Amino acid sequence: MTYSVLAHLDSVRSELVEAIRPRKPGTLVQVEGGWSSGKSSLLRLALDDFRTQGWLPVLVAPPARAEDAGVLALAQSAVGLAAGNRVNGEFRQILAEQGAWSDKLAALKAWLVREQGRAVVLCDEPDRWFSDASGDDGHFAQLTRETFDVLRESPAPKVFTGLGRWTATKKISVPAQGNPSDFLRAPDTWGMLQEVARRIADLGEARLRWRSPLELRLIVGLGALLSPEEVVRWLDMDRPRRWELSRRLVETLEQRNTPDALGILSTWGRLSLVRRAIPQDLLPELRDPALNATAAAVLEHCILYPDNGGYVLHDTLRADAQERGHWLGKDECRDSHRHLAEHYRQQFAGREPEEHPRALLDECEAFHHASRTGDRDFAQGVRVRFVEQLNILGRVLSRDFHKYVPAADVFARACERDPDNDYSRHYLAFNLDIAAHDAPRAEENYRRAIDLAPWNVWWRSRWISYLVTRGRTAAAREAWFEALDAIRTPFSGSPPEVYENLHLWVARLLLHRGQLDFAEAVLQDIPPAALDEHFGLRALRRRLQALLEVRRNRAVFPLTVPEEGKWTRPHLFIDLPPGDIVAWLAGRVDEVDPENGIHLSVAKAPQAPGQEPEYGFLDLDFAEFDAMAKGVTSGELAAGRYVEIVWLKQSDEGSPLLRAHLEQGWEDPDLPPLFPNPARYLRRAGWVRSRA
Amino acid sequence: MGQEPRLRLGPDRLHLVVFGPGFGESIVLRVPENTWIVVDSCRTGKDSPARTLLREHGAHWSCLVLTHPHLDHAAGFDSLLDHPGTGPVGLAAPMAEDTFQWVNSPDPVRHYREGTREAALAAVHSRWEVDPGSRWDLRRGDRRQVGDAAITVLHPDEPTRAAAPSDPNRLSSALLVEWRNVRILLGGDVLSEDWRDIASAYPDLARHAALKMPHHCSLGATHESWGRDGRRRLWVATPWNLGSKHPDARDGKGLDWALRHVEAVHLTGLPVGHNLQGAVPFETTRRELAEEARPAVLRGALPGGRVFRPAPDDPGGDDFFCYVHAVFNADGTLEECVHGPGAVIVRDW
Repeated sequence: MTYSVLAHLDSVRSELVEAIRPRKPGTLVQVEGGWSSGKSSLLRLALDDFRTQGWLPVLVAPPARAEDAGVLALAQSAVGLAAGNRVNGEFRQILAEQGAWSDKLAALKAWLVREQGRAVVLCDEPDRWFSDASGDDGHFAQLTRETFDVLRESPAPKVFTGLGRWTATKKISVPAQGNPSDFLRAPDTWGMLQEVARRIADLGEARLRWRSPLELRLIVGLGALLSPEEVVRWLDMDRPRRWELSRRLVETLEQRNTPDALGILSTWGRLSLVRRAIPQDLLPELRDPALNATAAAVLEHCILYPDNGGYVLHDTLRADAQERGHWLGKDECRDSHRHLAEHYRQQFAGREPEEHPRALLDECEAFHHASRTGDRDFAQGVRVRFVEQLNILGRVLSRDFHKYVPAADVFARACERDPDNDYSRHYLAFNLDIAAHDAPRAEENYRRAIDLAPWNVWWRSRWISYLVTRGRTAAAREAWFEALDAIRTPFSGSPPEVYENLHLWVARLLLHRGQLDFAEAVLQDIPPAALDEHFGLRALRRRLQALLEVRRNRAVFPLTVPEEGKWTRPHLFIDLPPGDIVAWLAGRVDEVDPENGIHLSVAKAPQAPGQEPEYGFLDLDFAEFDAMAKGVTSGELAAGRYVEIVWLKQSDEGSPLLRAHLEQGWEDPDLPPLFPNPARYLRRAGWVRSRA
Repeated sequence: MGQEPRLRLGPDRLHLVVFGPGFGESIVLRVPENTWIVVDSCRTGKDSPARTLLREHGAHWSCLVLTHPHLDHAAGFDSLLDHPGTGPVGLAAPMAEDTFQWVNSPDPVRHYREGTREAALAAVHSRWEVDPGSRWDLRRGDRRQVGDAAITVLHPDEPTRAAAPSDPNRLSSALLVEWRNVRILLGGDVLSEDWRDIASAYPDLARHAALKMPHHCSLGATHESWGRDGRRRLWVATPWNLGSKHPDARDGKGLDWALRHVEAVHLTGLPVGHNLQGAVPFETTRRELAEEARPAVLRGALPGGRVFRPAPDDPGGDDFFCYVHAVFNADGTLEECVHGPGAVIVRDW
């Protein structure tokens, strides 16, 4: 960054170094400031200051909420510490291909204790490293949280940026940007957009006072695409927030729809795949080669910013691109990841992290990008130091590329490295199960994962679902009760996510399979308040009620009619005033019999509140049917169709009207989806009828 | 085993129990001394009556057969497989609809029917995988010894299996169970056209002590090959209460045909609600049944003098079984025939 942007950080930079200087154990300095206020830059600038003063600064800044944020945090910590003494047991243990995650974390912890006299841990916005997600995301968030805990609890002095709630011994605020006007007028900052920037400064100085460098860049970019006058007018009228600036920039480019505009977007998309600073030599490889000079300037001066001889795409702009699918097709995205993987592979080619610690970070990036290609063999060509990287690769292959057997192979490799990794065990089993491949092996690993982590709701949920899928209902019941015993908390029941991750999926599959009593027991285990609050669980209860009616031979209504509204009034005659209807029947076509006509299962609506409907059968010959039918003929009917028959007050009571429900598919939007396909084992065995 | 079993099963006798609640059916054969053969499954209340019978007698099954995966034969078959037992598990036509062909149907009946079928097939598939020795692909000519009984598969034959017709009834299995001089013919849902082929391979089908009539005694499933030869044979049929409803008591229909060959047809129940439902047991004639006079079929009134026929009472709990229980000695003589609530003995006049 240019001096003019960072000048406002000078004072806090000294303050920060001073705060650490006493080397008191337990020191935690928190650096606060808004988005793009310069907190990250402050940490990077302070690295040199700390080194000058004899510290061993360990900068940890993994990508926010990334699956491998924990892995990268650990790797970055190790690389930072290795700068002081690269050859030691802890580093070797962290680099070892074999070994559990917990062992590597323990090595980091020991290393931090050993270096407590000179290490200072700098964590950039750790509150953004992980979320409170559950399920798979929760697993990776947990790894990140564990790494952060090791850093947070280390005796070394620490600096955390961001707004997290930590017990800081000192808080430092990064002041707002000093002088936007200077920034906009600074030479060598805007290239060929210098005049646009200057014009914006002239027109809008007062309105730019509190704008961050990122916002100013976006404003200049918009000025180049629209006009400085138009942009300043907009700033004046609407006072747009940061995200509105980037949205307008995106929309302007999308609407313009010229090769240059689209070239900027696709380049932005490719750059957004890069998670670190972009070296000077990489930019031309990712940039659309046909960009004209203005487009190239918008890209290099407004979307990117120069830093330390390379470029940086701000996290918020990366997120913008991600939200819009990177403006890349699937193949383009895969190709870009492959290119980036090769790029990072070349960075560490021939350099072992034992001798060149930073090569470890290149290895991690190479693996990250290789895993996103969906090409297992390509990804496995990159050296893997952490079992969790294999877990991420397996997850990507499974979730994003639906390559379940290759994913299972990757998880199997993870299990070889860390036999007690319950995540690897479970997903080895689950991917085999999705593919209906090698069921005995899937079972063995499902069980093993549960042995390793008996409290894990997902491991239980998928195991029970597997047993139901295989038609082993008694075993599923046993597994269900074992799960409840393992997960339930005495007195307080279960946390809400248990119902969402266990009960919901088990009940869904049981209902699909017509196992109504078991499904009912599962749903009855949910406290009524929790069930009432959850759309999916309520949908399951509705489905259960409908299927119980089928089992009692009382099913006449389609699933589209909710239980509570069944008898309020006819559903296919909402155009008629209820007062005109003296009686009505709801009916299901049981059979269209070419010889004898149409056989209906019917229910006669209760005549008064508190009365029960009367269930029975009504047979109509084709002429009778067609005489009373409106909008449908007997020739169009098929079994399963819903019909209603009404008798009207003013007409001849012997001439009822009949209407049929539209014959079309219907999906309850609240009902949890069925995945994996419950018939997968049957399909694999050739037991499923294939339709053209 | 806190309760007395509801059915008394004496030693040295073959017991045939046909359950037929609602529109499903299930057959249990107890062959001395302790061989239990279960063919098909249905549900009453929360369980299959066949399983309840096994449980009440502390019995393990020796052979399970799913004649074809229609709901009225498959419901609860998975729970039978969960019951203790070892032996052959027979199935001829393992075919389900693709889940995603029907999962978005608004018709709940289809969901229940297809899901239940899928559950039954999954259970069989799983059992065959875990215990390959139990696999019994039913095809004409197969004969298995199960305890002291021999079971012969009459249908489907190989060409029918290979043709994979879309109607599962065409692939339904028919079985002949033999113990000493007792021959029991279990007709599954085999249709007339297939009986013609079966008869050419097995010309003595008419020689049997008991018959579970194919396809709920519908006319389209009858055949002279097993019809002729003796009016004192025991023929049992289960009701089908959806659609066209069976058995049909009108002239020229299935029950009429049957009563031209045997003195009586034993129905485990009727497909419509009537005033004698739950009476144990009662007899009627085909004419009375056709005229809906005895038992009197109940009527629901609609405007304009129109009526509808109420559905049979929902059995609700596990206690109400519609069944016919026949006891044969080794000579093939019917010693006793017990009828459960709802069962009806129909004679011609």
